[in-house]
Amino acid sequence: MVSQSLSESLNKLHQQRITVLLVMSALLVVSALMGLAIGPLQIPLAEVVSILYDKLNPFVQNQHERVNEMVVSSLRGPRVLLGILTGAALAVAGACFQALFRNPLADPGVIGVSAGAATAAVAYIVVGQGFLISIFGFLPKYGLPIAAMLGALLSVLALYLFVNRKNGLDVATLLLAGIALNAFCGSVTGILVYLSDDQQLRELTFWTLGSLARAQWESVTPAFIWSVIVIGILLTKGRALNAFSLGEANAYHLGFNVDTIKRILIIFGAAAVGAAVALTGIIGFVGLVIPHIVRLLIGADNRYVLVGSAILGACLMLVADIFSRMIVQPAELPIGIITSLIGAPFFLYLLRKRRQLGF
Amino acid sequence: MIKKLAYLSFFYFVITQCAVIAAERIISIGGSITEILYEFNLQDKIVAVDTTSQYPSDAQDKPNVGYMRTLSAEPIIALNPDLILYLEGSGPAETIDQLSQAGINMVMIPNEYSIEGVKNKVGLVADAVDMQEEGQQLISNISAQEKQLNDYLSDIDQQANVIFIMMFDESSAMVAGKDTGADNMISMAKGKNVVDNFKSYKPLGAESITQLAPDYVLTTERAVKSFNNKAEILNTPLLKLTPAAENQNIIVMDELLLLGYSPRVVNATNQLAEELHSQ
Amino acid sequence: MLATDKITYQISDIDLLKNISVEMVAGQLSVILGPNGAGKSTLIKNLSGELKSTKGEVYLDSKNLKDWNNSLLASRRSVVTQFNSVNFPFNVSEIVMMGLLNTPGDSESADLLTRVEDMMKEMDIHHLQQRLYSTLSGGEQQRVSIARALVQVMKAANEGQACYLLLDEPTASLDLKHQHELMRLLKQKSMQKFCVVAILHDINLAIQYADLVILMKNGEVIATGCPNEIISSDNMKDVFSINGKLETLTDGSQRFYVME
Repeated sequence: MVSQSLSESLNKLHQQRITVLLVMSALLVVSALMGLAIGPLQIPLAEVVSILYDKLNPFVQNQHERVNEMVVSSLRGPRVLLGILTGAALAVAGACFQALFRNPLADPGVIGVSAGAATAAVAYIVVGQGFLISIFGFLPKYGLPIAAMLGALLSVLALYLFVNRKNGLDVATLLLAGIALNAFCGSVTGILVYLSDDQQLRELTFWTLGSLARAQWESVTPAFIWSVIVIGILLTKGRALNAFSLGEANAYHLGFNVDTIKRILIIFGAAAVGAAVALTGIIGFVGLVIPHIVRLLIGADNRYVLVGSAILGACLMLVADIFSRMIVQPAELPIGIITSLIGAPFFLYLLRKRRQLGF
Repeated sequence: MIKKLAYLSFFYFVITQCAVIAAERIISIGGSITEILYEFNLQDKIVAVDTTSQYPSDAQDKPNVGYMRTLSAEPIIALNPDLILYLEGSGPAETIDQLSQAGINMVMIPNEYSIEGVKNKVGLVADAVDMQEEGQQLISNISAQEKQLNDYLSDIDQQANVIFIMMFDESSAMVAGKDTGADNMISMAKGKNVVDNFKSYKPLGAESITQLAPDYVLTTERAVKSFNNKAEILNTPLLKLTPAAENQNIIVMDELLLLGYSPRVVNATNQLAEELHSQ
Repeated sequence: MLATDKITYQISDIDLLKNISVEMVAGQLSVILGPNGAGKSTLIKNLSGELKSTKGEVYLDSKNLKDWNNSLLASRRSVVTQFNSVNFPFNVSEIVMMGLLNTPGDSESADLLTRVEDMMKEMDIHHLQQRLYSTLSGGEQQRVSIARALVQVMKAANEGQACYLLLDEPTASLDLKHQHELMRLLKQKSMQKFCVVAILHDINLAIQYADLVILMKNGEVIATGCPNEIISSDNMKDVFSINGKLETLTDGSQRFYVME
């Protein structure tokens, strides 16, 4: 065997990774187009493309059938954007939590961060809104997503404080803590359901099973901008996450400001999950499945894993959403059911294979 | 000038007529609305219903757009309806907005828990599908039944203590409080809902139910599907110590009949009243 | 120079380190000896800055450790900890390259990479570079971690600055051959202006390679000095509660400690 020099093999690896990321990006474009083109209402792809072209080009005004144009631009459009942002946010947050907790099974859903966000959102609807109106006389804009993000933040902090005892941390401990946190959030939601009136109760059903069906430009646009910022910040932390994979002490020895980075990971990871949950409810396992597949494809280097997770997470969400629209039409299946259908067996597989997979 | 007015009024007439006559593809969201449409013999124009549309049983064969509170816009648009009749409380609000934006004629039918409310529903549905005559006919039928019911109820003075159970689980029962369809139905049948300290539906445990001491347990066929017989239901820890269990007083009714506030409302009230006051 | 000035380290009122003043200099291989629970690892952690002493100060290059900027410190001081498990599928060259994570500028320049490669050859892990770190044996992992630590300070060392290498039981999972290879490497590094501080359990390795021995017991430093003075049968009996004696090879070239 002719052994390659380090710089050669690094170069080759780099090229491999870039190729995979480019293929993933192409896949994302295709799934976004599919998301715009496939639905219960059949619209020819050519017309979808032409509607899209006209929307992006203010100088052309072609005539389209009103319903088709409306479905593409105000139903599927925001839905596709919401799919991209939640998929990317959950997958990137998953990868970050995994490095932070040194645990490849840390998924925002499994460890209870999504549940924390959803519970906070429910609390905001049932008690928070009334409270805020009685104090300010009006409802602050974005109250719900802010509540969801705070809920996610509290959950990560609780997990971190509970679980972070020394470096040699057992993978199972975090999962057990996650079970406890999920159960706790479940009971708090139960209490809130008891307190809620009929109108509120209707809103609450939405939180338990994730769905992209409520996507509207009005709410998706600010969330998208916010997610781009949050995910952008997390994407710059690849080096730090690599160091964290060696343990906090080693990250410190390598010269990283461990406390600052921890804060950034916890706060922005929670912000990503909270923003996604506020718009879609709980969608599980995306943050588990996606980073793992990405690592299989391009290795564990987080500088690439984060970018790959963002792209592939968006893809998965778009494809899962197409299924959720098509399987039981004219009704719709919540997308959380589909991601769990894929994710739960995958989770068990990882749990069983973890000795071979090296964790 | 007069000519102009005549033209205008002619156009107005044509336009308004078009809007009404055009209802050839109707989606019905809400069991009671579907029932009314069937009463009008419009079943062939119904292209889809929701999961609460269970009566008449033919309606269950129609394409189903899902639960009335978790509707999704695109599949509904894809069915190309020209009229959607939906019960108050259908949603989410975003979907309703999107459907109106798609240019579909959306008519919301209020859901008021009374016989008057049902007549009102019938009138509104009749207007929306331009079958006022049939509507009037159905309303007067209901009024006639209502008169008979009142005659029957006027002889009854004692009130029966009733608890309505929507569903059971191992440790608690979801019971109806005030401002619910079940609460109003019980009052209409000259019963008294023993639950009067909260609104809407809440789960209660065995001790609370025992303390409320209902003489009658009212529940739905769906809630007791897993039980073999009435005695078995009353023998659960939740109900065992109530007077209802002692006297084997349990009334099981069809959920849509009891709570749907459909044209069968008087029927439902009658049936419940007879059960409550037979002794 | 790496020095402590009367440091005490407490956890819930228990002194893990008591009033310790030691000084280790560049050009020397310093070895910390002592029984389990003597406070050796705690001392290393205080020296690296991972733990902050309750009382007293640590100085690196005559500058208080608290005043060092994190990444500047990392370019001069690297640490090999006792446990180095990694739960993600990094391969060996990636782990070694992590030593460069904080190196400013182009961390993948050809020149630097050649030297990283030499380092991997020196640590006898070059043939493992494409293997997943988690699939290696404990000894192989240890060598990878040491290579990573050496890579971390490679740039500063190359520029002729004094570098600090702290190792917590680096020979623990190595076979005899690799133990001696490692000790020779550490010795050689110390001669290239490195200040090397290592915790060892093997008294004979200390005799053979150490320039300075720090003998610890119950959180205190019992004695410091060159191995010939410090490693005596009395001291060993006192610190480890073992009975043994020092022998010399017949040609007089080497001393060794044997148990009775």
